[in-house]
Amino acid sequence: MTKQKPAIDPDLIRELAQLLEETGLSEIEIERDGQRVRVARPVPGTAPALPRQVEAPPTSPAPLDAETTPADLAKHPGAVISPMVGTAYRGPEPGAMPFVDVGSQVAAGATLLIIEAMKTMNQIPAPRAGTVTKILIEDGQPVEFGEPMMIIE
Amino acid sequence: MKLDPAAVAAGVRLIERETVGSTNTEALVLARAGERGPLWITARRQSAGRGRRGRVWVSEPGNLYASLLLTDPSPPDRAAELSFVAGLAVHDAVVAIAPAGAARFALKWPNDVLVDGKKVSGILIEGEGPAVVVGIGVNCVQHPDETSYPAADLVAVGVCAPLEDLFARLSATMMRRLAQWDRGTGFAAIRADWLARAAGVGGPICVALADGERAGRFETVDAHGRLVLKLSNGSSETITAGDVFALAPERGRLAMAGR
Repeated sequence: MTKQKPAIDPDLIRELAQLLEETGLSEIEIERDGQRVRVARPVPGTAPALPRQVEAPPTSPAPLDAETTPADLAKHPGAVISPMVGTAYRGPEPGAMPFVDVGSQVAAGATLLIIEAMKTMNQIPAPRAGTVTKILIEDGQPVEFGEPMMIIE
Repeated sequence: MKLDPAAVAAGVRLIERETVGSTNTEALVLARAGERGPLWITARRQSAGRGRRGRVWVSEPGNLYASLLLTDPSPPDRAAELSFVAGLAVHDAVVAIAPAGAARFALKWPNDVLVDGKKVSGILIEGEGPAVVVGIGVNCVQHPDETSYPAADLVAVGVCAPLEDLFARLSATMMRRLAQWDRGTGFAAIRADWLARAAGVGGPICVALADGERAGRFETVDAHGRLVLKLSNGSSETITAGDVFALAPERGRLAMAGR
């Protein structure tokens, strides 16, 4: 289960963070060399967001269309959306088999992921029956409220 | 085991078992079969007691193993706040049986109860649909030796109380803290009470995360209960999932000092 994680590029993140300041934007996302980096900062009235590095989903059958943004995926009818801020796990414990993989057939209500926040483990059930066509998160990755995590079609 | 009369009056129920795999699993099975909370499941012994991320919770007779099933206790995005509610309830209960030793008990983020800096209680909360199960283990008469964080038991530190008394207290303090939390609308007060009992605020800590360890200063917990870690470069990191260790520069990792 070892996955090749690209090294974090702090200079790139710093540069993007500076751009955020200069432009007054709340979020910048770029993709290059198969790596997607998003930096975000709190805007008044929202919880603080951390800059973080997101890998392009490694288990997708094909590279994501450059036009497909997380916002588009969140609106996908088969999207599994995070109901909370936390850390997503693909299996019940470290080293265990993931609950599902791309291509898995799932019944409605089957466990797809666990999201942990403050030692509270929330089981994320399949909202519908179908086939897992995309997995958008890595094991142990932080997720935001409303973030799309999987697509079931 | 007996519930506190106030808990009974509030409609709380209790199922006592001799041996179960895990009281949390038992509660989740009951929830899937249609049981509704508030319902406590206690066991004298667990054959497969669980901690965070598949860790084993040693569960020989004599210690407390109890899970509280709640049905739709809050909106899903506030469920994690229950960690602090439950930690406070256990802290309240042990202080109630040992009021003279109140200053020896502290809370470690997010919900471990420490006595003299050692872990005496663990809480694992599991949510599945509308069911949320708060699993609580308290080391009363014994504790495991080889743990990732130093452990203790109540008897070893001179707190002697029958298991039944501790559970009855807990059934009352849990209802009080749940009422204070009020499905999340009272979290500011829960957070303030938690911080007033927290170990190590302002001091150096080390947190084990899914992708490695971070060292820094334990600033506070934010309005959502996340741990705010001040890093040496001056930036802050907010943490939702991890294990907190103390860090003493001269000796490496060791137990957090008592309060």
